[in-house]
Amino acid sequence: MTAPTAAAPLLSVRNLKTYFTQDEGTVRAVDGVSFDLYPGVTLGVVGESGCGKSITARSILRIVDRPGRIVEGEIHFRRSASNGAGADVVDLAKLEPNSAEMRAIRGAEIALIFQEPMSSFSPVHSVGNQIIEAIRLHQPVGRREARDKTIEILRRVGVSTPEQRVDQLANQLSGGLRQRAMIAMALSCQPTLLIADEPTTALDVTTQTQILELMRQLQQEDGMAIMLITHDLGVVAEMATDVVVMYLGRVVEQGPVDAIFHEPRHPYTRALLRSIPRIRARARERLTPIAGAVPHPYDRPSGCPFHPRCAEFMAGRCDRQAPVLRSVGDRHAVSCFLYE
Amino acid sequence: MATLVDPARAPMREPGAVAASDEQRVFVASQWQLMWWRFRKHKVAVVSALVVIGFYAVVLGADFLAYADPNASEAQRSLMPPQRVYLFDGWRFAPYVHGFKGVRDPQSFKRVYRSDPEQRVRIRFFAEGFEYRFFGLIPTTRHLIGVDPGADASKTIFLLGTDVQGRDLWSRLMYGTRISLTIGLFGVTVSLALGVVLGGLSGFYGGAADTIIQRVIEILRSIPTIPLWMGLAAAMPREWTILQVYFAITIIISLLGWTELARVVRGRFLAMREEDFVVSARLVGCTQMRTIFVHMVPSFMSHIIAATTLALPAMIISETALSFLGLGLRPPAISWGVLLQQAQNVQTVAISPWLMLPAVPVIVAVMAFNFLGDGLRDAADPYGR
Amino acid sequence: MLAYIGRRALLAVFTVWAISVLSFAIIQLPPGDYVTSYIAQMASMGSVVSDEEAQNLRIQYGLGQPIYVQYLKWMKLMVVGNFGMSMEWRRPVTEVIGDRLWLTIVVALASLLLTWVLALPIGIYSAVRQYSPGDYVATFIGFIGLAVPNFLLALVILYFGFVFFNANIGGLFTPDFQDAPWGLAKVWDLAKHLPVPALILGLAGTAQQIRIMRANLLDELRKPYVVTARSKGLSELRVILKYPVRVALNPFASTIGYTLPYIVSGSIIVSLVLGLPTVGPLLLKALIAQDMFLAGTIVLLLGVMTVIGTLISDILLVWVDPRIRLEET
Repeated sequence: MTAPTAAAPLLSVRNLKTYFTQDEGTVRAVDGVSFDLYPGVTLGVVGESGCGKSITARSILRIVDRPGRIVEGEIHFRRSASNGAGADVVDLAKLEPNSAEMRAIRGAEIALIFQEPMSSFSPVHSVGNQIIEAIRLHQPVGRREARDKTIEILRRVGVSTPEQRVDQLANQLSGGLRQRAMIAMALSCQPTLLIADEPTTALDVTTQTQILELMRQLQQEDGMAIMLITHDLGVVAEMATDVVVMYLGRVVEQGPVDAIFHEPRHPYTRALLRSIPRIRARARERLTPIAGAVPHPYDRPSGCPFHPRCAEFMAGRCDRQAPVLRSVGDRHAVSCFLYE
Repeated sequence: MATLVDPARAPMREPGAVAASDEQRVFVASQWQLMWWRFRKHKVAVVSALVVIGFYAVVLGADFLAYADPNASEAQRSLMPPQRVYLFDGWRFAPYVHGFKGVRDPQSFKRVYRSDPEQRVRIRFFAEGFEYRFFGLIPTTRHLIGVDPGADASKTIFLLGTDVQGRDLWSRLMYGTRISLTIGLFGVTVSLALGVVLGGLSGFYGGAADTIIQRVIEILRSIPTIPLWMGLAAAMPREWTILQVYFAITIIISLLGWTELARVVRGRFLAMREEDFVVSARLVGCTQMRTIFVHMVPSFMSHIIAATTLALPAMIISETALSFLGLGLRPPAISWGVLLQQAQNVQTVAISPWLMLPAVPVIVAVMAFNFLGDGLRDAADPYGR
Repeated sequence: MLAYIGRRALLAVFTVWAISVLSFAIIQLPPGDYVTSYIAQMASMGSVVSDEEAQNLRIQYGLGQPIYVQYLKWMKLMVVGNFGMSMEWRRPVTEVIGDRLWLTIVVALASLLLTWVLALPIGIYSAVRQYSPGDYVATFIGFIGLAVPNFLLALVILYFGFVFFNANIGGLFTPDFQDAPWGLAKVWDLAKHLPVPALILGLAGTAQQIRIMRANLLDELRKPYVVTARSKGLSELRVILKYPVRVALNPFASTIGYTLPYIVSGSIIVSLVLGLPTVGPLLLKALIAQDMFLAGTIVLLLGVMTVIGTLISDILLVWVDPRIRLEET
């Protein structure tokens, strides 16, 4: 877990807001998120279900489902020089989702793998067909060459007998193999950024370890950045260099993984860490859940979104205004009035 | 919308205390209540339900709503167009129509009746008319509308015109509604019985019974129904009374129409067989009969109701089609199909387009039942999407 | 895959058998036996049937013997193409039916094709642009199709054509071509007259298919593999067409098999209203005149035609869905 060496971030999200406008009200799924992602580094994005982690990822890729849309914010992405365009920075938030430029980035420079190995492949097309499609979409190669590349990359991610697997349907592969195939598909065009949205949640623990190990290895070989979204703090501790903690669409704390785990500042981060069951706990020791429940999306609390559940709630302040991210250490920032 | 938090009570509230009362309501509501709430949200379905109720009100009160004897034919009144109803006589609300005058047609020298603007025939409400038995019990002569005493309703008002034999179309339509809508009910009941029994056997026992019944259903579905119906209907002896023909027709239609209901029932049984609550009922020691009737049937009652409602329009259309062709019900029976028989010919209809009017209740009824059935089907899954 | 086709074919055979039994029942239902009526009919027109001829007919049709013998004799005659005599027309049934059966097939196929061509794109559009004005229009037209019985629709369209355009939209040919021998010109004339009956017949089926396609596609659009496809950088059009539509197409294709009987069924009455020279009007006349061999044969042929059509659509389904190729349904 080394500090980033490149000075300029690969991805820079500034005040991203993605809202879903429906008859019943507006859901502010992502409500002012900012973070930086450096090349070759793994950023862990942590939070409970519903805090907006996945929507953030989808917003970056511009595949948010209707009626969601980005209402504010910037997503600066540094394109790689080898992909036709020069190495310039483009604001993804300003591109049309279906435009040629966005689609050239999506899949080729930023790739996505996500949670559902069971159903993330088409049930009626072979695995190879879908990977070859990704390759031929972004690279000028013929069918034969694409097929060879597919077999190669399947072998690289650890799929045995790739020559046969390439023609099989997804439901003929096990969960772990399917996830490997997904990784193969994502990596097929050598992206600079891999967004992994809960990649191991639906897998059993042994397979989980294998997949994480594979991802780490591929990262070392290709030097790509990984944005790892998960609610599992253990995975974050193992894989991430930097961590972003989200709650109700906002970043509440961010920093290097050591700082987050050993010197958590935000009450939510602290409560999260406290709530992890410990193997060394005494017998019959009670678990410490976080008080309260995640509010209904249409019923957001005023001021700081966490205040109804906060152990250090300050009346008159926390329910009136929303805090902003402030630095509290070396690349460590918190969004809490306790630190202002 | 912001929630203002009482500082004295934050943050040690019990988890899940939010919105408990609303959720409680949902948790303790019975299945039928849930269904009703979901149903209510579909405005279209609710309107359709009202329309259907309206139709059956007509079925019950056909005699009252008609004003002319539906079988009173009068050659001279043949093919009269619908009359215009004038609502205001000067300033008063006094609906009336124009009377008729007999004139000799200069070309055919026959006596025909033309509308006479000089005569004004008042329309009265709850007037006297031909005799009938209210609900089959109470003899009365009151009808919803009629004309001034002294005039004869069957000779003066023609709200929707008359047919070839000079019979008032409105009154015949009222009576036709009665037969068309009740044939549907009877047929659907037969289909329901067949469908539930066979579908249930198929779904619950599986195995050989299932395979056989499934194949039978597939065979029946592959056969074009109308030629068969026509054949079977035409083969009925001419001597049979209208009532016998009526029942025979419904049975013929239901014998081919039960397949859809059977499929729904079978699907439900198959889905439910593996449900935990059924397995636990069996493990607790319930007999098969008890498991089926006490535990499983209530779960899919709502689906059955929905499927049955959706099966009605098919029955109505079938009977209308057969009678339209002259193979189903025949005069003097009156149904929408029989009424439409007169509209078979484009030339006739071009001159007297009001003969096509019985098509309107057919279309409205079919649409209403379809929407209602859709609404019921959506509401039948209270915990679903 | 072969096993699947084999099973469907076997089922088709059983269906044909069931239809033949039902058709035979139709033939047998009216009172009196066929030969007696035949003799009476002949007599009423002044010709006499000799005893020997009558006896031959009796043997040929197995009259006086148990019903299943009669049935078998009838089947035997049909297999060699002898469908019996039409009493009303006094000609062999095959002659009377003539072109009509082919025309029925043409109209039914045209309807089926139209159903597919219309329902698929409209269904896809409705699902992808849910709640858009186009969706509502499509749903509305769909309801018209479902609610208005096809023969009434035919009547109304005829009426408007007659009254407003002073044209007779009915019929499949302009009168000149009606009895003319088949040639390119006649085929073109037929094609010009096909759209109206095809549309009327196909509307209800189209409406239903639109609903099915829309529902299926809406289900599929929510699924993760659509997200995967999009995240690869495919254009939205390709994402929709290559993935969820393909999957939604399977149950859609399997419903086509059951649209055919419905269309054939509907064509009987609609062809009556529109005055098409197909099998429908002939059937009705035969039934009213109690010309049972003609009626029964028409019912049988219609049924067989439908079953063959359904079988073909089943085979097409197998070709479309690779999942069936790999496992039994």
